[in-house]
Amino acid sequence: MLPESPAVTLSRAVVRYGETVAVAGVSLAIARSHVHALIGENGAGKSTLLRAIAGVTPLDQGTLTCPPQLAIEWVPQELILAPDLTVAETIFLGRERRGRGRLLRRAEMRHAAEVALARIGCGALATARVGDLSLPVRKQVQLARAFCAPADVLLLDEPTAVLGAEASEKLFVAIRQARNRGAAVVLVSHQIEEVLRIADTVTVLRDGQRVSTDPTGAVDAATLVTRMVGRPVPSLGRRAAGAGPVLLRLRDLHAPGVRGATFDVAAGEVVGLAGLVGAGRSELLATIAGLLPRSAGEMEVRGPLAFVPEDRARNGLIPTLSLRENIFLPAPQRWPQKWRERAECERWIGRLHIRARGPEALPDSLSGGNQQKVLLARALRRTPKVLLLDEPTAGVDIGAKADIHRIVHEHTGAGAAVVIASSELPELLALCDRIVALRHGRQVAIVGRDQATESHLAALITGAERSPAAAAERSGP
Amino acid sequence: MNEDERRSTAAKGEPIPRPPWRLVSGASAALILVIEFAFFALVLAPHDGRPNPFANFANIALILKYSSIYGIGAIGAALIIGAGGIDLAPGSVIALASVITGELFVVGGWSLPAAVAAGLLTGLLTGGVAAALVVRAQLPPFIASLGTMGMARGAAFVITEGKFYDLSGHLPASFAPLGIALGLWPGVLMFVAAVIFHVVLRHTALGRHMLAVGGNETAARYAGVRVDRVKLFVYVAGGGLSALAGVVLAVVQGQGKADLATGYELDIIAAAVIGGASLSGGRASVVGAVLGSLIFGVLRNALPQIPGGTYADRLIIGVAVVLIAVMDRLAARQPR
Repeated sequence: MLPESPAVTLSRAVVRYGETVAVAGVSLAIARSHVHALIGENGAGKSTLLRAIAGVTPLDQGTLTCPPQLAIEWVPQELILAPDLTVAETIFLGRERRGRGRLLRRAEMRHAAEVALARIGCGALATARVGDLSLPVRKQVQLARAFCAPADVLLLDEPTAVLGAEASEKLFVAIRQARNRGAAVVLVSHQIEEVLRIADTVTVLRDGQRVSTDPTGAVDAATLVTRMVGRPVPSLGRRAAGAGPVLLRLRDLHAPGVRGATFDVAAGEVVGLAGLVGAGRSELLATIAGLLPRSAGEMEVRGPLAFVPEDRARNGLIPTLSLRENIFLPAPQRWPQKWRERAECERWIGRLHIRARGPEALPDSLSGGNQQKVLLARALRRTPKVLLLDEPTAGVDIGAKADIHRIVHEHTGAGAAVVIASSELPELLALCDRIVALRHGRQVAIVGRDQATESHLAALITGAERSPAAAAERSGP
Repeated sequence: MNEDERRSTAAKGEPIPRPPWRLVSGASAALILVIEFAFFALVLAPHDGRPNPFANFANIALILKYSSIYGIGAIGAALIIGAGGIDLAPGSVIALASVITGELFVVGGWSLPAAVAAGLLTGLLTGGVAAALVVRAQLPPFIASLGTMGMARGAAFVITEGKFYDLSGHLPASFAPLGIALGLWPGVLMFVAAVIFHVVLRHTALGRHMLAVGGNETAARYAGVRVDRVKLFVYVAGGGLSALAGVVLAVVQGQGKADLATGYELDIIAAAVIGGASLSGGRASVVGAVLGSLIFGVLRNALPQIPGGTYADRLIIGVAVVLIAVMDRLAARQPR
């Protein structure tokens, strides 16, 4: 087979989910030795297209052509792993290597798993229990499955959405290696910068249709964004922070995974938490929310508090309850009145631009960005004075991300104190008045928005730069 | 691999069926009950003009009387399963409650209301123990209720030492509390319990929190639901309902004994599941659970009237559980 011939060709593909047309006549050629990025807003049909190529979702119309015995590896966006399996068992789940007598070759699989983990720069042990790993590391384990055997086609759905910068870079190296040995890589991403850097070709999808396909050298980010959204997106305007009374006060707060946090957040202020995986961002937020026990230090919260946790599928949404019931959880009244809740829910759907069939839709029928907005609605419904957001825009498209940022601004404008943890430094820089840098559970610096730059923050959280606090820590007993 | 082969392998991998119809769980249980009833009414209709031995009021009252023991228990099972738990204790709690009531009424000389109240209290206590094991000791519900199941049955044997209490001998012949004939009481109590707990499950904050805990316990806790309280409620309510069934059995059938209701827990769980409770939690229906127990009640009543049916009823009930569960599963699946 000629290397130039496409690995997979889609011709006028149509996929419907009930009455929804997810993919509306897309033709696409996926070439070997090529990284092909698919971008588009939530609901544009990217994931469905990937599922169709993977053969998981059948086409309703159109054709999918590919050579026989094509090894396809598909890594879905959803991270659903069995918590009690080890990392190696997870990587080989359903494709176990067996020896004589159908017995498992455990050592061999463990070794191969270690190789695959190293390939994508994952530090987890092959013998670790998956349930004990943090979200980004679990994502890496899921990705390692696809990098274990040399695949002809790699389908990666939002692989970097929950990964930190460092882990993403290592993944990109692995992607390039796969491409260089002749694999066709299809990458779905919300990060346009990342797409322009990694991909050879970029296809924009909107409302289930292909808008454009270009070599990445021939387009710029602004053009792509406009094509994705169908209109120009206004860049984020920052309001001046009007410092009000202090609503959240932490003094040397200690908790599992948190080793000393000291800062104040005033009304109308946004404070960001920057840090690598395991730096204690989520733990700090969970401690403030009262979900983790505080072991030492002081904490003062004035006014109602709301917390939107990381990993919305695991910690946020109830899959069996409707959108309305998810928003009104815990139920505000002992005897909930459906019609009243429904009316208020409709208002939230409108205010946060949630794309859903209606208040009674189940969360699974919503895209990631819209699920996140449902959780925001749950938090905002209680008009919190202190709002804690953990990775609020992970796996969320540009339009939804802008919406979420706008909501944060509106809420701070109304006098709330907001704390945001994010692994995206540019997002923190755009949103926050001050950024708290965390490393290994310790607060290493607080940087005001005027002094903060991406490189400075990156140096602080990776330990490349000695902060005064850290230096003092080291010289201590 | 050509296009068609690809599609077929895709279909093997993860099919996304799109049935043209979708049955609501509770509604499908009602439909099955109606079909089942009509079927037996036709099959058992005599050809010589004698009255139908199945479809007559006396027999329907009989079905209701015996089904309601399971039905009352299944209401509790629906709550517990909906909240993501499981309870294996109902059969044992039924026996223990009947024994306590019997011992206190017949031997202890207590008044009937006091003995009944004591019987009910043991159920609440057993539920409380199960809840404590699940909430405090963090035991899986299966193990916790396996324990309370053994303890309740064991306590019943210790109390009776093998004998049984004849309550009927101590009750007046025309005993009819509140002017309702004794034989009607099981059905009436099942109906009242069903209304109460249907309202609790569908129309109160507590009910929503139960289904939230069953659907995703971590998320419910993060959202601020008091998960421990919810679990305490469902297990205590489940224990209380089982005890109610036991007391009803003791008073209406007139006896209390330690080997009463052996194996009922599985029929009770099956009735709740047929009625739309999902064993993975987050979904349950009180009305469905009652309908589920009626479906089994009709089978138990009608099968012995068919030649050769007497010994086949357990087999047919087993097959029916599987069939109905599969049908419901297929009907409930819908495309994302």
